[in-house]
Amino acid sequence: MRKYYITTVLFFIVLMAGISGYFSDSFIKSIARVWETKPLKVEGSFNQDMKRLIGEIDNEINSNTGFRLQFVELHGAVQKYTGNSIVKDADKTVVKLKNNKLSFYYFSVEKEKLDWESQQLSKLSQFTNRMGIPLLYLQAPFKIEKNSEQLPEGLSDYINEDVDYFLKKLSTDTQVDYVDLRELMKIKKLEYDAAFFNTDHHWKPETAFWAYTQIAHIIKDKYGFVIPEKVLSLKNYNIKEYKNYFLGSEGKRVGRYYGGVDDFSLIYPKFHTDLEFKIPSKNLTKKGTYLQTVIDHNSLGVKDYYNKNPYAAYTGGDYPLNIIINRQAPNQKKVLLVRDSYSCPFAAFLSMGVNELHIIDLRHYNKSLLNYIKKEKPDLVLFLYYPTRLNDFDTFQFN
Amino acid sequence: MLFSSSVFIFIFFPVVLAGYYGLFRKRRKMQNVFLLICSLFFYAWGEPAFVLIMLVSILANWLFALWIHHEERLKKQRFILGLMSAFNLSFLFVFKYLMFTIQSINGLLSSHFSVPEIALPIGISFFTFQAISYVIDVYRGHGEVQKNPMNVGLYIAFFPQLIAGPIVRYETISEQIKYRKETWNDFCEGCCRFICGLGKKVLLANTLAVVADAAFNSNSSNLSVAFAWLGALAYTFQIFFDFSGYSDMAIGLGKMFGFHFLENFNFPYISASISEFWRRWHISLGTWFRDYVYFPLGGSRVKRSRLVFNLFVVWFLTGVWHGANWTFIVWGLMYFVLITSEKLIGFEKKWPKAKPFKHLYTLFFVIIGWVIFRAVTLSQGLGFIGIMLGIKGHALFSADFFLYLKMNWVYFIGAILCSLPFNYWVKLKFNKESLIYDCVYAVGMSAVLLLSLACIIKGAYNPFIYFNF
Repeated sequence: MRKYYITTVLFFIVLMAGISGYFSDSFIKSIARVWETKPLKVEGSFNQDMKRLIGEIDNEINSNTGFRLQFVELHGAVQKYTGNSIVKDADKTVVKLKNNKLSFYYFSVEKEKLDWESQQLSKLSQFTNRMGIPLLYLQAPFKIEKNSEQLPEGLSDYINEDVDYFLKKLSTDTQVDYVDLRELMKIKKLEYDAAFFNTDHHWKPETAFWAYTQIAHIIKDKYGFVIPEKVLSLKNYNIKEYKNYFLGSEGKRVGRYYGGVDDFSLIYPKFHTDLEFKIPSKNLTKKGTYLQTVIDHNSLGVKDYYNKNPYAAYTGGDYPLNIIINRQAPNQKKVLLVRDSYSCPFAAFLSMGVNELHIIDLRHYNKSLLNYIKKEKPDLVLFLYYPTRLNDFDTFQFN
Repeated sequence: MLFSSSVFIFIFFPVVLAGYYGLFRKRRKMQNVFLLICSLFFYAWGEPAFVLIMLVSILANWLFALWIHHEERLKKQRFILGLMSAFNLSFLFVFKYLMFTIQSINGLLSSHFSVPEIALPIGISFFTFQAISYVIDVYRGHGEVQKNPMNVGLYIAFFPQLIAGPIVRYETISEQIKYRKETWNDFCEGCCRFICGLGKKVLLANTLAVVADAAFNSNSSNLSVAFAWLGALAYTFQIFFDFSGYSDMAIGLGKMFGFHFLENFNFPYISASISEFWRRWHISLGTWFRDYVYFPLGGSRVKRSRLVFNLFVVWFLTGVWHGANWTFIVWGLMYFVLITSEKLIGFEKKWPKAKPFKHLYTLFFVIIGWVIFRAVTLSQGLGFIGIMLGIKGHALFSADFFLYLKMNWVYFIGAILCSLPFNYWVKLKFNKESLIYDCVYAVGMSAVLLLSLACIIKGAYNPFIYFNF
């Protein structure tokens, strides 16, 4: 019986360690927040509403368990030492690529849905063209290079093929202007693997800056924007490096021991800037220099792998709507950027080249994009979407 | 609520323990009421509305048992028994089989009856069978009638066995409801049993589920023979460790509160015949059908033709019990054919020297059975078996076979070892009083606990495979 006694004592020690996490203010606040923000309302059935509420509480309980991060690290270490290159969670799967980078694993999108999305974009393009506003779709690159065979042998995904199909539809059937940044990276011989974080699906700020300069040149040539080299040359920007500072969304799921951590760069202008940065959903307006406005120092201030997201230091992360007004802008152009999280650093850089940058994230913006365009009458509408946006049909609903 | 969740392990379980052993210590009635309330909360956490359905079942069967107990005429008692069976089975039929029946009729007769959308309350098959067991055992005099509906509620809804069994017979615990004795030894043994079950479910079943899902969800035209076998084998282990893990956790939790449930699994994969497999697999279901269906039909002491009929009824019902789908019916009927053949030729007593062959034969059909059981449709299952047997001309090996084998070979070896009575051999080798053995055991169990909790807290893949039951 002695072995059972010892094990039971150890069991209760572990139990107490886990329970200790619930005696914190943050847990009580998070449960209160769930209760306030998810009141029971008759959206579906009572059962569905209750299940949703219970699901939210479950999540909060799980994420506030004592020593949670140590448990996550332990799990990652076991996966690493058992040679597991696929880590499947309840909602997402992280794969370790042959180049040791992490990537989410995605399923293919049905062709009918890609057709529908290209038609939606075409209708929007026709709408803006009638108003005399050009529309340009920018296809962000997927973390795994086309035909690179970076996935573990035996695993395949079709994201790049889906993107090819979608872009082909845009060019042949709908005649929407687009720029395929994957192709541009190849033409400009940008090192593909180095363009992305190891532990996050996003591109590095350096890559976003490169994309900004490329797109700036395109809109100069195509739409006659005046954007001087001063705001386009990296020489006129400081780069502050943060070593081993960032654990991306893929890395957070598998822990530091499994996929390592990333360095992070803050790129900011050497020249004088005077901006106004508005976040209407928070009723917030910041005025001042680039560093005082579009950079969120809360995301960057302290190294905290699991609770901070330095990538969101650029423009503060995902909001329904942001507006950046550049009082030192080289032109009087107003641009509307329809975005996902890939645009965080891109939007910050682009704000240097235009007078007004309106940024809408359709994952969170629940009003009509068409009405916004009608109201604001921008000089150019840009879309910048990561390939997996093709699997998120709400971001192609523009009414 | 799942046992393998943070909310259960870190909140629900400690609260129940604190209430049971702290607030209501040595007050049996209050303890039982407290356990019942907690059990209803446990069920409501996953199925908020369906807790009412369970309450209806509890109240109805409490009344049926009281009625049958007060009725002295045998004929009337049998009438009540028939009424009770009709009530419980129609209850089960409406929630579990009505949609399937209408769909099947529409498919067979090309008719267009509208199919109602009825959600399946989780665990309905388990708690309905326990409710039936209660009334029948009272009728047979195998347990005293409960005048207090709370006690019936506790028997039917007690959270450890509520959603995934074992199906606890009333006669097993009728005494324990009022007169159980909790001991420190039982508590500690129960705790270890719970950890063991948690490890089986989280570390083995959930990990191998990824392999099984990859094989069963992959495009069948690209599936190689080897990967199909690997997927089938992974599912064979997944369902065993998931199910027996839940049973271990239920038995362990029961012990911690002074209840002693019967074993539900006994190393089924070491069986040398299909009949033996079913004496070792889901024992509580097998004995339920034996005692409440097979024996009342006449059992095996009847003419051959009647025996075949009795077996057909039992195995048809066993299949149907697992879910409303043709896959489950065919799976059950496959066992009808195999077990009837074994009985008719006296398979178990024949060919004692061909034991290795008998093991292989048993495992082969068990694995084939699981493929049908796991498949979404019968055609998918048969197609998958066709690939496994190489009659579809698919490639022998594929890259995904090597990928999943390379990643999971440790878990496959662990699963094989845990499928064997390895633990008993170890026990025989070690002195029972050895301090080293005790420490190794405690460290090993703690490692299992920590690794399981790491998976749970991390939010690793944690499928629930009983939604059909």
